[in-house]
Amino acid sequence: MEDEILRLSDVTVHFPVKMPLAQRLFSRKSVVHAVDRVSFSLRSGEIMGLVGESGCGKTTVGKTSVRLIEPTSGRIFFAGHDITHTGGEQLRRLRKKMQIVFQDPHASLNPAMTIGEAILHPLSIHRLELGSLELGRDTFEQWAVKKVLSTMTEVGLTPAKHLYYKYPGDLSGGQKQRAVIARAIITEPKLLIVDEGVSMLDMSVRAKILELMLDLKRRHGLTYLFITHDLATAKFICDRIAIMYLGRIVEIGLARKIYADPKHPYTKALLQAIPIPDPDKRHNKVLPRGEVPDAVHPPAGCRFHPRCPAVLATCGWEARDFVDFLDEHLSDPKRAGDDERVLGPIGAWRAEDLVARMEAKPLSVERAVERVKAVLAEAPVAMSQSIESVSSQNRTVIVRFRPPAQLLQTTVEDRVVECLLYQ
Amino acid sequence: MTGPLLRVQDLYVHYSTRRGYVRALEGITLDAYPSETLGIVGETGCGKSTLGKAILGILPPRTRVRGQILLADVELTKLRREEYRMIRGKDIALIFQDPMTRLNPLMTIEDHFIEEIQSHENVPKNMARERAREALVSMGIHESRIKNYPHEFSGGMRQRIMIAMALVLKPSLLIADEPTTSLDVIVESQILEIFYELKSAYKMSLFLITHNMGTVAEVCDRVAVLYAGRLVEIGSVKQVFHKPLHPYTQGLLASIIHLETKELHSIEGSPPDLISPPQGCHFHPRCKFAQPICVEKDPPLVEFEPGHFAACHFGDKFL
Repeated sequence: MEDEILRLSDVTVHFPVKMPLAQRLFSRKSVVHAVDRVSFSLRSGEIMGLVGESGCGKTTVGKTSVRLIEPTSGRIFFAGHDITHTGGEQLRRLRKKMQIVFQDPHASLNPAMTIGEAILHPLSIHRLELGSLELGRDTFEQWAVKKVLSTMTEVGLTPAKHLYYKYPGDLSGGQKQRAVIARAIITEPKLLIVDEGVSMLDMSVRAKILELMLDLKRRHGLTYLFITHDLATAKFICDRIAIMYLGRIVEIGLARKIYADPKHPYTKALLQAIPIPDPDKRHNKVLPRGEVPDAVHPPAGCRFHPRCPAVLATCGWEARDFVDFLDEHLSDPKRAGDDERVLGPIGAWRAEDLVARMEAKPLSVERAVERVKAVLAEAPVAMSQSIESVSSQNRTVIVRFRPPAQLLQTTVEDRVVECLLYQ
Repeated sequence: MTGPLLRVQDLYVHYSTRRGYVRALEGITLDAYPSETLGIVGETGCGKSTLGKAILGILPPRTRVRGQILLADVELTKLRREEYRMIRGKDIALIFQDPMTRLNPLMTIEDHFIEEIQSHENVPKNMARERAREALVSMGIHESRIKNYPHEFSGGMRQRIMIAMALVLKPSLLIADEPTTSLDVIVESQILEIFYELKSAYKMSLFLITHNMGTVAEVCDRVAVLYAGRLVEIGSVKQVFHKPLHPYTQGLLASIIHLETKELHSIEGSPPDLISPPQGCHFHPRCKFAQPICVEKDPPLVEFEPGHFAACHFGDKFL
């Protein structure tokens, strides 16, 4: 596509988990599945939102897009060119065209550099590419300072000549963020990745920075990848959005359509959870239970299945889910009664993929099997429906799950959703 | 008891710094009642955290404090350190934004509870352990995890642990300073639900210090708005949200970005330097309604309608 600025194709990023040597010798290698086969593309002049909670992988996607992080697999295209393995000189030149702004302006600015020096810095890095055409009759320094001052004025850091010599500590949060933006746009990039660009700013200041970003987009034809957990801000500023959960994109499409009628249960949950600043509109929320699980061992099938209010039997139920459910059940003395004696302790259960087992005490295997079935009557219906069998073998109780259905990306009312409800 | 649980009267807090005194709080007067949730709202530097710390008696040394803080009938500002320590935790409890700063990474959760309980009450270990277990279970945390260390829990769970620890001594006042700011929105909703139920279950007062107006609207009964160390408005959430009397409150509400936002609004300028704040009303340099009187005279806190106060010379214009 001609005006495609950025494209990620099946990008996966796995981080190795640091382990002491002794542990590494005896256990399987563990990785953090930060991003799993993520694909999307950004058209020129578009603002695409990448939305999700902590740990969903959105920041990793942002950093990988500019090659600050190397993808484990998959491809990255910038303006049609495959940049997945670009290195050295070429990568450096590429970086002029794609910039990233991080959320914490306090951490992004070197406290020992003046604002002017900080904003000038990228120009020094790319100095060698400047020809006599740009410099005209100025020396590099003269040209660079002029450019810094005009960029500062453009982002609202005025009076520029005065603020040029200030240090980050002298500036307010909003001014610091403007400085960070100035530094990012001074090399005239085509793509700007903004990671939580306004989250750390006071509310009364956010609007100004968002307006600045929109203004810069119009004036310079910029394309934005806007990474945030703030759905309300994303709704206002984004053309399209992608909702991420635990390394996957679960829904992607036009922002307007997704907000009006979210399809994926996680998107619905996120939207519902946003506090409304109107005391008359307090509503009863149906919140997913629990929290985002560990990315080292993400749930099978659809990663949202253990928390999903609309979960089906084929969504990915596995042995772990049964053991977690049993653990919760046994922890509540009112519900458990003497189940602990027959089925516990919970440490006796082993979960491996679709099979959960327990070594039962002699003579009570049959009783344990019956008790498991009784306990399952209180489990989420979808989970008990996905159990193929509860049986015994020698002295072991075995709970076997059916394999999940294959999860596919489906187009529903002009957005793409990854959910069995729509397949 | 129908009278106020906590009375803050004409409270001044000035921090001593090399450049001079930072006037963090000036003339704060407010009451908090039993079983109510009071939101303390404002942006960076408004003094809301300082207010929480002043009530808890944990301001840094050499801080100048003037005025009164009365809890039931006890004058907190006059207490000795040991006396304050007994009250802290037992009658007033605190939850911070980031629980990791309060939890000792080398102690199990159970040990935290036991230490908390035993430092305030003469209770044998097994009884303390039992209360710890109860408190955790009431927060939705498996008792099997009681011997885990803080780092083994997620952010949301740590916050629940903090709340459980704060409640275990059944304080009459709980101060929560930005308790959900660093949490994701779904976890935040879960924690807010807990807060919502707390006051009826425990008949406790909750001070919710936050910059997030959405949180205030969800959970609070009344809200106090602070700006540059001063209380500029206080009333029921309905009063303040539907009929904000102070121009700063109006600006703040207008700048909230929510799902129905059609236009972006902000407040021009930035908060003043608290070492030498503006004369008269601290907000006048940024206020589009400012008149000469706003510079000359400090606006008093006036009750413009029952229960709804604002510190603005022109408050009645917005009624």
